[in-house]
Amino acid sequence: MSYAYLFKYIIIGDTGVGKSCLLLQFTDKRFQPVHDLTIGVEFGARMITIDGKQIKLQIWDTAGQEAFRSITRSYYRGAAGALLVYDITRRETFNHLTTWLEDARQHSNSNMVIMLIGNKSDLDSRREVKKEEGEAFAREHGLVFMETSARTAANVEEAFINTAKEIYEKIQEGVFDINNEANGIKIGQQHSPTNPSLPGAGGAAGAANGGCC
Amino acid sequence: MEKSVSEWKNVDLFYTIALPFVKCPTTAEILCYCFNESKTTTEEIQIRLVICEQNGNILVYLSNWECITFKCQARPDTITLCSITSNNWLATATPISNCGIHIDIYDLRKLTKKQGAPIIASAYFQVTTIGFENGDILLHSGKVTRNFSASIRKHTVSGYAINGIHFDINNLDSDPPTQIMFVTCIQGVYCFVLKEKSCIDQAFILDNDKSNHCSTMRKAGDGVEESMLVVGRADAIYCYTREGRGPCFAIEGTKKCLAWVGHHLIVATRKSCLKQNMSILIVDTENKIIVFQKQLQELFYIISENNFCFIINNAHVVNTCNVLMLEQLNMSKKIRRLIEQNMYNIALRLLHREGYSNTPEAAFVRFQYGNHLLLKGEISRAVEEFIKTIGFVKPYSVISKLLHSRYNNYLIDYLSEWKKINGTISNHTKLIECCINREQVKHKIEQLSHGVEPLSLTSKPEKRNLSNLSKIYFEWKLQNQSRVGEHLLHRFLEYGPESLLVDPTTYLENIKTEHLNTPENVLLFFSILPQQNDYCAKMLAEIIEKFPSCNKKLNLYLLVLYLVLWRGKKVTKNIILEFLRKECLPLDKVLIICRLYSFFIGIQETTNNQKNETLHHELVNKCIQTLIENNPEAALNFNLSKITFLMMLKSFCSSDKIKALQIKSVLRERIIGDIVDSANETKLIKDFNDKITRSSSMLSLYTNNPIEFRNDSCDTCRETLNTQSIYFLCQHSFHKECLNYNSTKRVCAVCKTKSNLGKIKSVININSEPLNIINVIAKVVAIGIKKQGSESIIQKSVKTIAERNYPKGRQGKSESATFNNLFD
Repeated sequence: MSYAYLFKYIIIGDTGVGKSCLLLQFTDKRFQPVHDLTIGVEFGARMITIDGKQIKLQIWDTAGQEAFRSITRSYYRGAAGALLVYDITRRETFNHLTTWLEDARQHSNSNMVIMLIGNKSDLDSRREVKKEEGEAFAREHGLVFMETSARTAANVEEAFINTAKEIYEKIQEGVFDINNEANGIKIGQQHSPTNPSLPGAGGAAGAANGGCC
Repeated sequence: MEKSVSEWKNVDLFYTIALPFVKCPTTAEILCYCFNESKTTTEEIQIRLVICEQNGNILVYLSNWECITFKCQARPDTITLCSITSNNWLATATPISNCGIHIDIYDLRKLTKKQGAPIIASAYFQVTTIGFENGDILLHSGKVTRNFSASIRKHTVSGYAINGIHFDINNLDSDPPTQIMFVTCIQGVYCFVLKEKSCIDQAFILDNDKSNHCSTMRKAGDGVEESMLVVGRADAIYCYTREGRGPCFAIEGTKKCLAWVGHHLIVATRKSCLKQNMSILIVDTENKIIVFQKQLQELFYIISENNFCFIINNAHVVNTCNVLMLEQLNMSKKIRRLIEQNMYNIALRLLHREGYSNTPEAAFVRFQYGNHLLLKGEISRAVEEFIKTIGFVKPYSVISKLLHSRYNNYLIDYLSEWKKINGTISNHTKLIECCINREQVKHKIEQLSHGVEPLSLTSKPEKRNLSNLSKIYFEWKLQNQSRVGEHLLHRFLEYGPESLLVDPTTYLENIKTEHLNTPENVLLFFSILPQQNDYCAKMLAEIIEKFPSCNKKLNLYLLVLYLVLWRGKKVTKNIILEFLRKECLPLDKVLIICRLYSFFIGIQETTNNQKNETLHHELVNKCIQTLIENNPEAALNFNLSKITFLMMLKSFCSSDKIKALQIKSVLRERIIGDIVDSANETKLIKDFNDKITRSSSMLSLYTNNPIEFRNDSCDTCRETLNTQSIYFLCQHSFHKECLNYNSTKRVCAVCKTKSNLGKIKSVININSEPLNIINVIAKVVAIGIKKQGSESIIQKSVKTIAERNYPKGRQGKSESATFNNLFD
């Protein structure tokens, strides 16, 4: 299916916070209570509409385990948006946010939109991290904040779509260099001709000049 | 095992079969090889593998592993690259030193054993530095003519050596077909959109920062929307779509080769420490599970085609290669192995993938999964699985697991779904109704629990709530909903002690009120009232009084309570004895209980009662005997040992033929006998008392008024008493010589004779001899009182003694003798 833009997301956070469940809820609209450990990076995609434009979201769901951190880091570059997820019922996942954020800032492009997500909001009785704390952290680090529940699907759509809206706004503002695919944005065939900056063969630096010998 | 591999779940669902009949050249002899990666073609000839040997031979292996060998086109140099197309054309590339490269295309469709395959096209490209090692590729697109040199284009991809080229031609979604070419270099992954005349339309760098070992393609289909390039690197296996990176599978190690068969990624890795040791892994990427692992001494390459995969490894035997075929276990074995490892989810996904979603096999797995979840306490999910088994698994199997009250909602869900699918069956409807009612009770309990659960000792629970809670409990007990009842009892157990502390009166009154209506369950409640024995005893006594025919367990429990209280000196023994007399309890149990609590008085009392009972039985038996004698024809129907007297009496009274009057005489005789006996005994006692009084006054008279007497003569010889004489109080006097005083018995000879005569007389006229009577009574009391028939106890005892002392002959002889009281 054709699209105007392709946005690439990365979901990061400690193991067991519900990253894969968020992805599954967003792409398949279902919840799987027992999810096998992500070993490497999983992948999902879905089309959304923003401002009347079809936007394809490609999402990398990463492993939260420290053992796979080097693989995860290689995915930061090339992502336009990141969902930094913690579990509201486990304080330590909130405490590790700073490390994740530093990692993301270090390896991603500077314009990457980061959405802070407090997942498992349906388990309010077991809450260990107050919503206000999440809001404060997001405010302090310039992030967008939202509490979600992959089980009930509460705010899941909003989290992904609001991130996309932020990216879209940045594109409109000219913050993103949309010709550089390393920013995690790709322009599709459906793109409006008002924006002249279409990607071309120049993507591959010095490669495939197309000329015959 | 590499660290990342250990993170994967692991179960063996594949096995290898050796193909010893297939002979392959050794690694050293092989220049290059190729196999058809695309789908099975409709061509007549099925090519499995093509190997180009160093000696210029081309070995073509057919699908049955038959090998056809033919000589390649004579060139000064050897073939460095070969590739087979989906239409069975074989392209070989032979570089000519410092001149260029020869490309020959063989048509394997025309392959024969004698002549081999003909060359249908050739090309020569004159260039000095071209080669994969330099990052260049030659591209030809379009029709292949006899000499197609002119249509070949050279493209420089990268400064690094190229180690993989893969095409993804999408004929379906776009017109004209999109032709995508993925190229992997030692460093860098590139994607090209091809256009006509071997030109490149667009090129994208997909990755350029890591060292690539090998690559393969995952073709679209089987649930995969778009084709993906799969690249093996040291840390993981990365997938790329034309739009960039896709998923990644963390498997460490130097990748020797990759293949994708169906849903499985086959990875051959070499451990960095052991260069000669290869490891084959098969990953089910969809289920995130390693389904096969095998260590090989040396692996050469993997051939994958459709659902088959062959591993070619160097054999230990010279000049041969081992060929192993990878085969999947059949579905039932796979499922069994997955179930053994508790991988129910994966088993279900496999079944779904193979189209077995709605089969008894899938239902069986779901049922097992449900059981597993139930054990883990994940009831909701368990029931979800159980619901999916409806129609395959007998409902009883599921219902029996969900009968506990805490699973009530889940049972309702299951039954409702069952009803939707199978329609209405009375049993199920009834069960649903029961569950709904039970749910209502549970809901009420939940509502009331705040009232029952005191937050602190100062806050009193609502009396009304307590009362209601009790009512709910007993209502359900009446309906034999024991599980709900248990639930409520547990509630009491949970909150009972606190409620008792806060408001014992209300709490106990509630229990009492309810149990006075339905006493069956009261004993259950006593277990939670260990400190309230006195109250429990009172309550139980009331219940027993109200329900005389209630379970004997209650009586025994009351006896225990009494004894506990007796030991605590809260109850007197008389109360217990009275209770024992009043209630007819099983003797053995009473004795045991009394012995346990050292209540020996009770044991004695019970024994005595038992004796009286024997007497009573004699009367009963006599009564029955009379009836039988009067009704010989009816008596045949009775078995005296099995029916009670009352039952028999009832039977007689209800019978028209038998008149109750017939037993009247027996009863009247007994009653009159008792009355007469008691009257006689009363009269006797009165007479005895009178005589005792008279004797006492006489004794008093003797004591207080001494008599004066002086005999002149001996009562024996009647001579004057002038020698030594003896005077008795009886006013008899004797010469000492006459009395034979030397004997030890110094008794009056006159009175001695009279005394013997008096004893005989007393038997005849007992009423006139009070002293002897008292003596008899004393003896009777000493040996114990026992009623025998209608005869007076005392009279009978006297008669017995008399008979003993005076046999009949002698008795008759002395009947006429007279007896005079000594004191008269």
